[in-house]
Amino acid sequence: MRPGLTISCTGHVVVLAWGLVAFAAKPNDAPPVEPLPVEFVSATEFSQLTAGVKNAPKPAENPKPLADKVGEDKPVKQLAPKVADKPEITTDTTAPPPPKSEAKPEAKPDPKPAEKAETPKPAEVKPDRVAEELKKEEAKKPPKPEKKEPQFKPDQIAEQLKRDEAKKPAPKFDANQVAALLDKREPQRQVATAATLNGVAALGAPTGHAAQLSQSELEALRAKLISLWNPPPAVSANPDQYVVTIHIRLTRDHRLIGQPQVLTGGDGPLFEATRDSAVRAVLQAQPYDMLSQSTYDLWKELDINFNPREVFGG
Amino acid sequence: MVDRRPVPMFPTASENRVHTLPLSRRAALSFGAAAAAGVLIAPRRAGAVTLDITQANVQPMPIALPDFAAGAPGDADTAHGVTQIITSNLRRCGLFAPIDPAAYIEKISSPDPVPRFPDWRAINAQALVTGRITRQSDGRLKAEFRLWDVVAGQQAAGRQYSTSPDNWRRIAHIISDEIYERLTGEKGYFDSRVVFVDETGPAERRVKRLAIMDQDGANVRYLTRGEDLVLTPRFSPSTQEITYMAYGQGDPRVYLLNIETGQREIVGNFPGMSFSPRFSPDGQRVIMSLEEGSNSNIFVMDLRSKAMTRLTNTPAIDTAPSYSPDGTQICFESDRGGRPQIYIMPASGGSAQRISFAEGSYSTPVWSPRGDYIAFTRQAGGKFAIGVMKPDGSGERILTEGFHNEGPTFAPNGRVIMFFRDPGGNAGPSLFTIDIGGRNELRVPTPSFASDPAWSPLLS
Repeated sequence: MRPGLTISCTGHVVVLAWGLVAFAAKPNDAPPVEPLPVEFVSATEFSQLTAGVKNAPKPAENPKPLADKVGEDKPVKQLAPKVADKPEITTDTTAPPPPKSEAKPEAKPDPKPAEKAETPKPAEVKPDRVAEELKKEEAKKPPKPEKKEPQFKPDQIAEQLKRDEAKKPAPKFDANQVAALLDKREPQRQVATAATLNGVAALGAPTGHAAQLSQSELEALRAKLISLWNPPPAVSANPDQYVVTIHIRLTRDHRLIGQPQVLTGGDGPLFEATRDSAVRAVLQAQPYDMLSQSTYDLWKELDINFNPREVFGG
Repeated sequence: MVDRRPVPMFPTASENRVHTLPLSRRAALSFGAAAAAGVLIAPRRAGAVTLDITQANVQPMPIALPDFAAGAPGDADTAHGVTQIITSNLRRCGLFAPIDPAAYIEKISSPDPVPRFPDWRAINAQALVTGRITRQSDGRLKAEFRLWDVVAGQQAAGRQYSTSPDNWRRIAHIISDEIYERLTGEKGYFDSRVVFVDETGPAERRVKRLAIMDQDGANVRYLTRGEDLVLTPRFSPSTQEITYMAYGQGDPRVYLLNIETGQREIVGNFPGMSFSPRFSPDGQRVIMSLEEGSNSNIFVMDLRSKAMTRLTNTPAIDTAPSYSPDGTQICFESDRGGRPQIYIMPASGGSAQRISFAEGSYSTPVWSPRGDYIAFTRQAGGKFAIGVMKPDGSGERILTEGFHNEGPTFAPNGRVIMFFRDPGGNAGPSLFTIDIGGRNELRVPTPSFASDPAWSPLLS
């Protein structure tokens, strides 16, 4: 009984473990189909632009502030001040402040005796008291500011300033800061739309094709090159041997930088004639103004394959 | 003979005294800079967008051919003539569209300075040919030309030749071939000749003479006097010889004729007719048909040893054999299947394979010098058509069709076919060319009626 149970359990465990491995779902090897870029207006284009670019420059460690010159927070005038801003009202439940009770006896007796003392005759004793009182008052007054002084001692202020300076990092030469110092414009705070924010920071998905040349731009470019390409008819015999790839670099003005670079190697008069026909087409297609400025990063370098296989109905 | 040597991209003062050195240096510098720019281009980015261009706009290339400069005032006529011949050649081949000289902005007075390319781009020229004809002190004629790629702004080819003055037409054809080869990537065919049967007189008493001319119809020369009826002349691919069939005394015979010396001989001595001869690609053998009773079979004869070899032995009419350019196979016409059709078989004999299957009958097959096509005459529905098909029988297409078209012959580069067309009635046949795509059909000027053309190989 016991050995049978053990064998059964072991067998089941082995079979289940084997099944887990053997019947594990195979990963779906189908290559992900890349969607064709389609040109739509506003919304789609906007989201494409904000989704980031695969080859975007890495965000700088100290990104430039989005506002060139940031102003201080300005207090906002509140037309209807909130209740919370009101000063707290405290009921006077505690005992009346002692200074009041003291001031009255002082204030009232003082003038009267003084007037009295002056008008009748210069009293010998009273004037002394008043004078003494006045002297006391005068003597009391100056010490008052002295009492506050301990909070703002000149030495302490100097020390505090020194400490503050010590806390501050040593001033670096930063072009941005210089620019900011030279910037005499009024501080501005309204920048940072989604496009600028993400354009700086986002690298986009590694396989993303967010920003692409639109189908209509590509078709216009293709149509122009097709209309200008005049390959020699002799390539029709072996068209596959005469595929010419040309690398071009373009300025923002839609013109070529330097000479077109032929990437395909070959020799013989037919290759040369085919190559030259492709180079002529690329040169004549200037200016490439079917390509929009907004996608310059995508078309500043192009590889163009001139493939004659279908040209002559082969 | 014609001496030829390449013209350097920019001639130095020692090579060309007319040319001023500073200009050459400046030009060389500018092109050096352009070349450096091409080399110094930064390594390309891996993520560059790739674009596939799989269609094209195939059309004649606009080319500007201003008159060649004359080295001396007396050479002006020759210079003009050379330019005219080049222009005509390039226009007739159908791959170029020479631009009307009235549209030219820059007046070219010398082939040496770099042309003002924007002026030529402005009239949509993609290529520009400049040149000069000079009669030298030793009496020989010097011809120079430069081919400029107007779009890229650089010289594409340049060469100079020296020859005897009466060879000036050939110089023009040779320059045409250079231009053609540089721009189309294929050998040209302009420096070649055509032998044909010249026909004069009324239809019932036609005099047929062998004649030879340049491929553009100039320089016609008669090779026979017209006492014999001549047919199917064929050029040797390697020598200045032709073979043809003639009705002399009695049966038609195959003859060999040296067109330089005029020497003529009968090929072999057989009972009965021998006909439809053609040379092997090396020019050492002649393949032909021999009559055997009511049938005919194909034989090949070695011209040196005179040894005959039988290639077919059938109770049918096997005729019109033609070698493939590598000499390993032959195509021929045979009615062994009922109607005349085209067959191919090994050149040493063996089993034949039929390659034509469409309606009607096929005759006069001829293998292209490029090896890619076999041209034929097809008779169907009361019409004669000229067509081509690949050697495996596929890709058949009819180039032209009419009352009577016959006798196709390939240009040396295999791009153009010449044939003769007879409109019927009292009129006689005349020669036409058409490219193997079926476009650009043109009549070849001949002094009178003409038939049975045979294109020579390139002369040089």
